[in-house]
Amino acid sequence: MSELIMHQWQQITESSWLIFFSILGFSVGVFVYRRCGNHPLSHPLVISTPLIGLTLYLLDIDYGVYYSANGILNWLLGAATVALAVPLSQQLKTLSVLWPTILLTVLSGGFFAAVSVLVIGSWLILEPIAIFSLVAKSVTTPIAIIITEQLGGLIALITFLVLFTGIVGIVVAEPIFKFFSLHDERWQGLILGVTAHAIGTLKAFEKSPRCGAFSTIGMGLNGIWTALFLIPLMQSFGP
Amino acid sequence: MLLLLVVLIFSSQLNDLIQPTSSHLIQNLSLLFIPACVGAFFLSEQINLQLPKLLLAVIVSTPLTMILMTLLITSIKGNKDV
Repeated sequence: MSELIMHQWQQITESSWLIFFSILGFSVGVFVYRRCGNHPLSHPLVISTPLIGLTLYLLDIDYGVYYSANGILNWLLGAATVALAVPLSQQLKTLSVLWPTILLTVLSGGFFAAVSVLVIGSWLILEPIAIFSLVAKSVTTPIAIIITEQLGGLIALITFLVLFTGIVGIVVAEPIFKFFSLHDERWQGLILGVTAHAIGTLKAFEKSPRCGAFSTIGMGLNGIWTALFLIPLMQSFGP
Repeated sequence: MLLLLVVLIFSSQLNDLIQPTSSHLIQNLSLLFIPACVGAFFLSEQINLQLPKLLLAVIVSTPLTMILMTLLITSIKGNKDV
């Protein structure tokens, strides 16, 4: 326990002035995102990370040094994961009769999302470390980072792939709903939340608050569910 | 997270107390991912070679999952807007 606290304390105290790159980059990202009318392709992460990457490259700053300089942000990620329980608990109170369908869809959808990339990944003959950094791609980033850390994958890769999954998700969602004539916004929201996590939820809130609420449920439940089944599954089967 | 979820379901007072702080944190969640995400530009050569395959896996799997869930829901609920 004391070791854990020491580790966290170390993480926070390692923070240095390089953290301003992140904050400045994020501010620019948010500014551009709002200017583009919240278009998913102009997501703050899409704008800010190449900018910061380029800056580090031009100033010849080592990525490892930059990463540990952001210790306090990485530390806050843990708190933020726990905070996800707040919107989830608010939404859970609003439903009762829909429970069986919600549970069935989230559990099977979350399971299929992870197993399908696993199968496709091994079929494409990916390196084990690449597969470990890929399987949590449908889960919201803070939980995906925890899962990937436990599996021994690359944090940098999963963050990027989660973002990419979200963008793919919201691009293909509308045509799929239309083709299979799924018009009910509640279920559209749930699907967006499970497959495209926070980016899907953002999109769902644009449709309607109800759609967003269901998306929050889908994202939250899928995050918990994937963490529960994926880590034991991957550890028992190995690469 | 599960622990907080269980506590929150039973205590609305605590919910009101932490709601403002947590919503700020969640609204600016993207900021916390920046350090890790920047790392995508500093990956090893070996991983970079795998990147097209990784993206392909995501592009194939994401719509598949969506289609599966859509079919599941329409078969349970029908297409009616309720």
